[in-house]
Amino acid sequence: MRQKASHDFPGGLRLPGHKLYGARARTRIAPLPSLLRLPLRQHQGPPATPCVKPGQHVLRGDLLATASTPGSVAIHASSSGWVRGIQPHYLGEGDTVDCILLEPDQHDHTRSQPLGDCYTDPADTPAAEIIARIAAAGIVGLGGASFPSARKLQTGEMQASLQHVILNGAECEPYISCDGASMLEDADAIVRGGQWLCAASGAQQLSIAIEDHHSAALDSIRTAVDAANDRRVRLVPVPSRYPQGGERQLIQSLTGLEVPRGGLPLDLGLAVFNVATAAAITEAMEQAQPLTERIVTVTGSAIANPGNWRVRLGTPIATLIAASGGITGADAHPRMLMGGAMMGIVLHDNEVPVSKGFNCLLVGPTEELRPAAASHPCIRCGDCVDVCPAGLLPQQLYWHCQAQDFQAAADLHLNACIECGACAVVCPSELPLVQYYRYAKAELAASALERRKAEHAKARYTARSQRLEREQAEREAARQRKQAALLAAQAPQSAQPASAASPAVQAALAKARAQAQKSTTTTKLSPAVQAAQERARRARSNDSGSQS
Amino acid sequence: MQAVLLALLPGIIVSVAVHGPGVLAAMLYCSVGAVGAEAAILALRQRPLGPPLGDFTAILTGVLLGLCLPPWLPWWQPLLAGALATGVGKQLFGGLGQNPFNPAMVGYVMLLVSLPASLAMWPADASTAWNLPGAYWWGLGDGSAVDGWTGATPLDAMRNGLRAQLTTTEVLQSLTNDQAGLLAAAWAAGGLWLWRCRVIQWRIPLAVLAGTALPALIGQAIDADRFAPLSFHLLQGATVFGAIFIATDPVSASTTPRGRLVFGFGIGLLTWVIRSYGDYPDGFAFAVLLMNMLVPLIDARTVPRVYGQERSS
Repeated sequence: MRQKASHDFPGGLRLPGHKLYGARARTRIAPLPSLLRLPLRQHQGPPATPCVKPGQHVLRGDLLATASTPGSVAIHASSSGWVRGIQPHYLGEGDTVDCILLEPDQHDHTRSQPLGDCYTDPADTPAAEIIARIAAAGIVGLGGASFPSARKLQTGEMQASLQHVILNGAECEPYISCDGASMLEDADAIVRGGQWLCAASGAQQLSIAIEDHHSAALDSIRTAVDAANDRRVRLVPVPSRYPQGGERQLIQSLTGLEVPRGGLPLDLGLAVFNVATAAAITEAMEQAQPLTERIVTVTGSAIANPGNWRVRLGTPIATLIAASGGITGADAHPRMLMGGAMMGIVLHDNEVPVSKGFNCLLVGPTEELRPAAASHPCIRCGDCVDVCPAGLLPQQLYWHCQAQDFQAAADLHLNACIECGACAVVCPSELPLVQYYRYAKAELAASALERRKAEHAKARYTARSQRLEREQAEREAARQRKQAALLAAQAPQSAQPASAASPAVQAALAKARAQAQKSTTTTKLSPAVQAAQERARRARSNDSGSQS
Repeated sequence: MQAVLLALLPGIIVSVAVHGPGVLAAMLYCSVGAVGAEAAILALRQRPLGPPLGDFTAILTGVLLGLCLPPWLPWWQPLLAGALATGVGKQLFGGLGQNPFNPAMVGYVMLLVSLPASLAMWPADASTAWNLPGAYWWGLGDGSAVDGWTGATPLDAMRNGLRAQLTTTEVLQSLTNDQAGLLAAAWAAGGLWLWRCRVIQWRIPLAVLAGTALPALIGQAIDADRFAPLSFHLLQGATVFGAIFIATDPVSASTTPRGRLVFGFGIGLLTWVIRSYGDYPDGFAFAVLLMNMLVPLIDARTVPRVYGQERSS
């Protein structure tokens, strides 16, 4: 039931944790702000469609926006209050999304069972109902990637089957401890969520992976696993090495398998879910409550009182900073990151709302968190090659990116880069390598789009020329058919042997010939001949006239 | 870079003991030449001088080059070699990180090709080196002209001996006062420390040694009289020093893990080939430059398998 991970992933590195431990890791309830902004897109996929009107009063758990397409995810009210309209808002790194504005009435009434019945036994619930409930609850991966969870379970349309569900408790990014907090406080719900996921997918194996240094989380989950008494479930301590929590690295550590290039974990019969996602699924199944809050780590050396908060979705980060004692230190405007120090996104606005994938708010002096490096030339030392978990040559990718030779970078498998940033950490020249890769990927995506457009235009042009040619050919064919028919009509004059035809036909032909001859003599003569005949006629009449 | 300079210390001490204090002078002249040329070109290019000169790379190039040169060359020769190393070998290509060739070896080979005679003459033994008048230490007189104080290096003696139809055993017996083993051990100690500190990796040095050792063993097995033995190839000349301190220059070496093995092995092999069949007594510098040229090809052919890629391809 418990065993160490039998495999490992290549590369990676040990990083200083900067995590919250012990009592500091315990969650506190974040205060309700005066305005919640709920982005219509908090997931990978098209935005949800609003289904409420301005001025409408809603309770916590009420549906605000429905999934517009299968790839979209529903949004629910995270507190009771009035809908105040829709406004676009910036969500970090140039991403602006329409948000439903919800003004809390501060009573925080919760709708009882907004999703319908409460289920109790995973074994007794049809898989389709579980998947439908997970979709209705608006659950996405809470580890940061925000992939719609129900989509991972809809294996039918992929014509694949899931054998093994992995719960990812390997929180390898420095500073982030929200999954750790969830594992300490919601251990039973996490294991239960794993069982619901197994029931939904038919998987016969459930692994819960936790970094081996995180003994508190291991103990907590171990107790819950023992209590669940389910022989499908096993707890797997994995090496504490960044980026252990990367989906593909975790799969490699647990199974020794690699997700094929351009493929999905499903190709291996696997699906990976974050531990907090599992807890949210349990809540959706057993309390019939949708996803309206998540745990957010608020930390960094510029935060007076770092901690983990249970935050209603849509809460602006300013509220979290204020609740954490505000900003301390010399720098009045420290750098803010959404996510961890390694892969986080820089925020320039403290009204950015907490969305479903928002796991950590990291605030610290600029020089501490990814300083805009005074970088030196690359000396090709190759330290980056040793730590790259994807087996890439970061140094050569950098070389090509810097030369704007993006195709060469693509040929060296740039798109296999998971942007973990391990290369940049070890780089002695302090090069911002990941930024180069992101830039190159964006350029490649843009040129691929251009190419698709060009190909589309070319296809249209080709289709049009082909249509014109075809029409031309058809006209030509019609003309030739007509000519052929004409020729066929004339053909019997010469070609048809007279003896072969019956007397009646011969008589008819002779008549036709006589007619044709008559007509040709009158009509088919050249103008000169006609003129000559005319002159002859006149001469004859003159002659006869003089004679008479 | 400072770590590499530190790791050179044991070897420098032994080298000074064996070849005389002129070694220090050669290192000094080379470094002055190297730093001077770098500064001059940076100034011409209107680039800031601080960062490139503060990274110790030019000094390291000078020190490495100085260790390759005979200790009593006239002062202008090491100065010129140092200037050529960073000037032609590095700055002409755009400075740190841009040079395809190992700068120290560029300086060494340019001097070797221009003045082959003076680079072949080393102090006959430690006592002659230390007994020279001070002016010669400082390269102010032509040390190689001092009769009886110079001698060919063991590699040179081997080449000439074999050409004179002597057997390897006879040549080896004629070599007295040979301190090559001690020197190699001192370089190796520095190399081990660098490896422990993760400044260099094992691949290139071990591949260089293997590249020399393998053909040496085969040659020894085929005709021990005509091919110098394994120990001679490993201990003499630049083999250990070059494997650890020259071939590991990351800028001009291959960057892929497998490529580094190929690169190192190629240097070792070419060194043996040049020593055994070439006109120069030692071929390490040429081997490095030749393999430097192959680096783009090696890198392109040894791209590691990426996560999720088919194992066969």
